[in-house]
Amino acid sequence: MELFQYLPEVLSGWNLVILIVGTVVGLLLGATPGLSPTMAVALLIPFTFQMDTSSGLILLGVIYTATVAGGAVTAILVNIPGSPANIATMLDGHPMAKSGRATEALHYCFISSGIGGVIGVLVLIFFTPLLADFALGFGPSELFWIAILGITVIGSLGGTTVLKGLLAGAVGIWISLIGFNPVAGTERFMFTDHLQGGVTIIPALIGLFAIPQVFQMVEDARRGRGGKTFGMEHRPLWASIVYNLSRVRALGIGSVVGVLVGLIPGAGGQIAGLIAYDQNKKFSRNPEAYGKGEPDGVIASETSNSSMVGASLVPMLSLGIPGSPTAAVLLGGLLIQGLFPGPDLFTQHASVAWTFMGALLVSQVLMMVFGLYISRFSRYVIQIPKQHMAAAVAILAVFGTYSVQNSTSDVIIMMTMGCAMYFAMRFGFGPGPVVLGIILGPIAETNLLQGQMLGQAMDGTFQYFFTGGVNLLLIFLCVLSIGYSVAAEFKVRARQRRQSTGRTVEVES
Amino acid sequence: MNNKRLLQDKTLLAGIVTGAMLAVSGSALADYPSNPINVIVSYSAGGATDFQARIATSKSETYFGEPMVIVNRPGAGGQVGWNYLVQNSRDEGYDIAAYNVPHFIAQSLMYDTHYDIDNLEPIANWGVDPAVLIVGRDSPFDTIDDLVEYARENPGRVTVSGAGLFVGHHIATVQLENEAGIELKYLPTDGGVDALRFVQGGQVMAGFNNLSDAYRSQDRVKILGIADLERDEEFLPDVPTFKEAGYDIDDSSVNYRGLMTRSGVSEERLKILSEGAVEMFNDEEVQAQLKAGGSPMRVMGREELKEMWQERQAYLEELFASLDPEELEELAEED
Amino acid sequence: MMSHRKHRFTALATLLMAMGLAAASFMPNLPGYEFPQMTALVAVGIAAIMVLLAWVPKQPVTAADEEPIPWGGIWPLILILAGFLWVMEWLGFFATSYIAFFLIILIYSPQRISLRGAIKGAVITGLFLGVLYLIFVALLRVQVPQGILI
Repeated sequence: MELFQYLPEVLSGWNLVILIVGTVVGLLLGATPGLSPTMAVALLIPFTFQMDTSSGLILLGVIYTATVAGGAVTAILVNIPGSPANIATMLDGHPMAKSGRATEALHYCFISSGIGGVIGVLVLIFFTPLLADFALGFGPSELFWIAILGITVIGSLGGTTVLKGLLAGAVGIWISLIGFNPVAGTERFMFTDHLQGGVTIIPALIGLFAIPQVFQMVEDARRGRGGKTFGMEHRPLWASIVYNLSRVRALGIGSVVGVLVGLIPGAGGQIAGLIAYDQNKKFSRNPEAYGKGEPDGVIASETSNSSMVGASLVPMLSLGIPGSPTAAVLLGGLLIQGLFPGPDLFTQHASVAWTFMGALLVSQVLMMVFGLYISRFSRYVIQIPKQHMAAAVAILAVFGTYSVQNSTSDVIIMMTMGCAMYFAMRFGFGPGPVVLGIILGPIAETNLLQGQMLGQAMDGTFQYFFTGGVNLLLIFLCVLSIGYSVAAEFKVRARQRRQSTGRTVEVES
Repeated sequence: MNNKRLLQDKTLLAGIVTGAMLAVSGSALADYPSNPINVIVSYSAGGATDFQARIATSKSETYFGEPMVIVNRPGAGGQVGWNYLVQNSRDEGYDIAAYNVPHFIAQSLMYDTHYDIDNLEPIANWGVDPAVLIVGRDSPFDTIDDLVEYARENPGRVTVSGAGLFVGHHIATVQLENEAGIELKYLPTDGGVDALRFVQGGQVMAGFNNLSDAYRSQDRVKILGIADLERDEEFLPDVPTFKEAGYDIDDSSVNYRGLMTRSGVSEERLKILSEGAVEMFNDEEVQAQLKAGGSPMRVMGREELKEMWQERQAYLEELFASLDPEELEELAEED
Repeated sequence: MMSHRKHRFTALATLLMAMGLAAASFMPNLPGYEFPQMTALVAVGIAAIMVLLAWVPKQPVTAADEEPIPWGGIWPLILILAGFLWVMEWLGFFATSYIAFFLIILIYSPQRISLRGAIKGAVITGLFLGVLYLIFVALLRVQVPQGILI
């Protein structure tokens, strides 16, 4: 097995130093609100110029791994996800923290990340050639249905009602269509020049989640609730490990969904966490506990978004197709080193490729160890007075948005969307569906338009989208997902009605 | 407090520097460049243009004394980044962009863009990437003739992918349609890598793609022809040109990549940039790295490029004029 | 009863907004707008259902999910954020951030504004931005908007 042949190289001298420093730096960058994994990887690419090929790649790989996991820390403690991958973690992680289980949530987050991450990398190591063909099987029709399936997740994204969630999702999709038509290249909805580049995911994510939180924090500070709102409980690590390992269903669903979503090129690996969360909730015997601090939600989401990292490198390394914005930046770093995706990578550059994959495996373990260690320092983070936290988050949000593309327009978009979201949240709309819409809108449109063109050349558009095993399976899953959400909504409403009529009767009598 | 004094010092310094700049401007600036130079890449990170630009500019500190920083501004086949260059950047020579000919010229003719060859200045060219006709590994087509014959029998049913509307691949498709008298269905995608994926996965029957990308994925695709004047002896000596196969298709779809800036930058600075960039692209290490990626090189300076741009513009105007307006409308409307 | 009326108001406002999106999508009457049109129509449809449900008597459409906007507390922040965007490119990122950070912690401090508090705030602001500058600009060479200051 080549892996063991190159493992000593991974763990020797400089490479080990890079792994450890990279893990710690990545965790810290990921845990800083407003700084995204995409930005972190992009920032470090120039540093890899001076390194030899394998060290440079190890640095980028380890930063990718660690920032995705680090993003969960802010999601749990401050209610701001570090990357789209952490949105689902936030849904239950933050409620857990507020009810005094912050340490526990952080434990689950890093343990699950480590388990999922290792599974993802193992898939990458053992099944890459096999799965490359699987990844290529996804054409416009399949990707379109995957986008629709992603949209059906909205029903379980927290928020108050499915209707408001769906509406927010539709608005999110509409916002993502600002800019240029992806196929015809014509301008759309360009009300000002600032909108030329469209609304991209990172400014949207930072704005929609961080800015409302800034408003919330200053409001708390003004009301004198500026101190810490929750403490970090003491919890033995082994208890968390035992419980975490016993949640087999959450771990299983998380890693399977993460690997599948990561493999599909262009499906936006970023939604892996959300889909896994949704599936786990639907299989749960107690779906109402989700969104109120259910450990399974954190476990499923984190397993999924970490196993996605390794799997998303399968199409990237074998075909050159990145599955997420961060993977795209990573691919850039790979190409600069003179390493080109494809089978050559594993034959001509075997030593680099295997060292890289070995390093990814090791970095998952290091991430788990250091993450658990660093999470102990979270108690200092939550002691920061709210007004200081608010100011820092606001500044970092601007900084993190600007530095992705050096674009002032992005900063303006981020602020505008953030303020609008704050007001919309007062009326019961949540930011999660909007971000989901922004991620999935372009995927759905591009593939719909391309599918239509292909369908016209073949046997007709309808047939193109509604025949074929994978299409039918995906459509079936969409219908199932929608049906489940509707049924759940009726159940909840029926119970509310019973309760409220009960109350009215009491008042009248 | 300490910080505030620092800020004041900075203002003072800034004042002095501005004053000095005003005093020196007009005379030859020996100290240009004195800041990092921003290079806008109009495609997303990881694409062929992006990584070639990164390699080509990687030796900037040796040749200019300052680094070149890549900023990706993807969108609309490049329009977003190039619009940004002419609209938002300053004319001090610190904002430059990577160009793709014929993409940006074709777009300036077909769309309402803010840029055209009159408000852009070429700096230097590093690479040429001819369009090649590819089909999937399991495709029944083995030669260009096979494909043309099938397309003749099944008009409009042969799907061809390429990296977007009005890029080199699209032009090559149109040329092949005109020359062979066939009707193809062109599918624009987000970029070369995506277009290649459609061919590899069998979603389309054929595709035009960059030689460099196709060269690296020969295990999954067959390369049928190259749209250039001569065969590529170095990378694909066995692949015939379209001319050899009997289709009179010239090199006008060849994808030139290089650096440009907006007009208004002083002639001295353009000269510094152009001469430095030519030397930088000729650097042995840069050349070796680009070759490893299968990108044919052709380094050209400012004067040569000006001519080439004009030539392409004239040719494209002619080509688009020869397309009947209905067909063009259909292209723009295609969905 | 009050909240009932508010629900109806929200539903109506939502419908108006969705119709605005639809209008923006259908107005240009050019090719390339089909998908936005579909999206906007879906949004209008959902909003219409919300309005209908809001008029069903005596049944709250949603749980109590609407909160009043605390205008009194947030308007300074809105001004600071808007001012930030306004000034940033002219003054430079770090100078603007300094002012914004300082103002936020001063205004929203639970204690009364005092000279000591202000000095302490200025030092904290300086420390935070100093660390940010050292790590990202000096070490990692991130570019930030530069104006007449830094």
